[in-house]
Amino acid sequence: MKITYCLLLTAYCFLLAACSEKDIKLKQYYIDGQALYKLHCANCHQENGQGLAGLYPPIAGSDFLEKNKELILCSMRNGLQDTIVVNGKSFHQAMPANTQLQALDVAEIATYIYNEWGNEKEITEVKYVQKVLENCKK
Amino acid sequence: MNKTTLLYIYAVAFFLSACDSQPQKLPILGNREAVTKTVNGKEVTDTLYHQIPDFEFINQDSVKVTQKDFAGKIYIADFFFTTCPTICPKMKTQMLRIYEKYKNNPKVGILSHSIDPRHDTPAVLREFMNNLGIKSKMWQMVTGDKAKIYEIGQKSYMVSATDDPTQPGGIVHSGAFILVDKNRHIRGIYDGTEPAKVDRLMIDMEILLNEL
Repeated sequence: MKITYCLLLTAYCFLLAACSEKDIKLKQYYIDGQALYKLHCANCHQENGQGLAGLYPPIAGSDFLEKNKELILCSMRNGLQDTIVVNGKSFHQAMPANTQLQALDVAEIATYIYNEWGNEKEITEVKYVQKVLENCKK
Repeated sequence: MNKTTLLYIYAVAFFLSACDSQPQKLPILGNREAVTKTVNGKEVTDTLYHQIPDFEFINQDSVKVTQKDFAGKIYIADFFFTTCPTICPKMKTQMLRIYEKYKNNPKVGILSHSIDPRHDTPAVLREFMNNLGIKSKMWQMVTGDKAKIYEIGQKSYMVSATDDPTQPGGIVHSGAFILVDKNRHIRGIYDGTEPAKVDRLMIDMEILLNEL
């Protein structure tokens, strides 16, 4: 009886620690991502993610986020020349490349925008971003 | 309290009130020259202020734009290019605020010069303006001979623009908004990337409009 109780307690402690560790990591990504977003993205997409008129598409409330995550991750680093349709409106101003962004930077920015304006409550993992970035269309 | 102190307080109060009642005036920026002329046999010295010279550029509708289009108006000039990834979007966000406030005021104009005229043809400028939602003629975007645009920017509007291949977009330039009065004198230069500085610019525009 006592041993079972002890084991349970230990397991619970582990869970708690694991949980908060995950939370802390998410917060870290979110905060770093926010700073990077302000530096590299907010000039055009604005700090509130609303974009600018018909020139730069919105990120907040955008129907483009959910279905195009891989394209979005690639565009952060490589830019985007194609016309895209966001909320029924087409945008064709080219997005500049930011080749200096590392996979971690991209992961943090993605974590920020998808938690802030998408429906995600989790980290965009660096490993996933690395894999996506390796397979971007040229 | 002795008499001297009292007098002193009166004097200070008087000066303060004098300051308050003076209408606010904006300085005329730039170098000035003293010119001596002979009028009716008398020597007269006049101050010649820095002035924007005559210019001629092509706008978004491939129509010539000259200083005559801004006669009798105050206007704000800036320098940008449509593909600029750095400060231009910030500048355009702020310029839009000015546009929204003054788009129906015939006494105010906005003149945006492209410093990348090879890419920014009238058609490109037209599309850029449509995408920004600019419908009023009060905001003109112009392109033209690159050397002429750089020259008027540096010598007349007192802003810098130079090619720099190491920069994103290949051109470095200032984010200044230049406030010009109806006599083509520069009355203020503001950082067009800072909302607070643009607030100041809009206050100064009101002061200048009262001079008209």
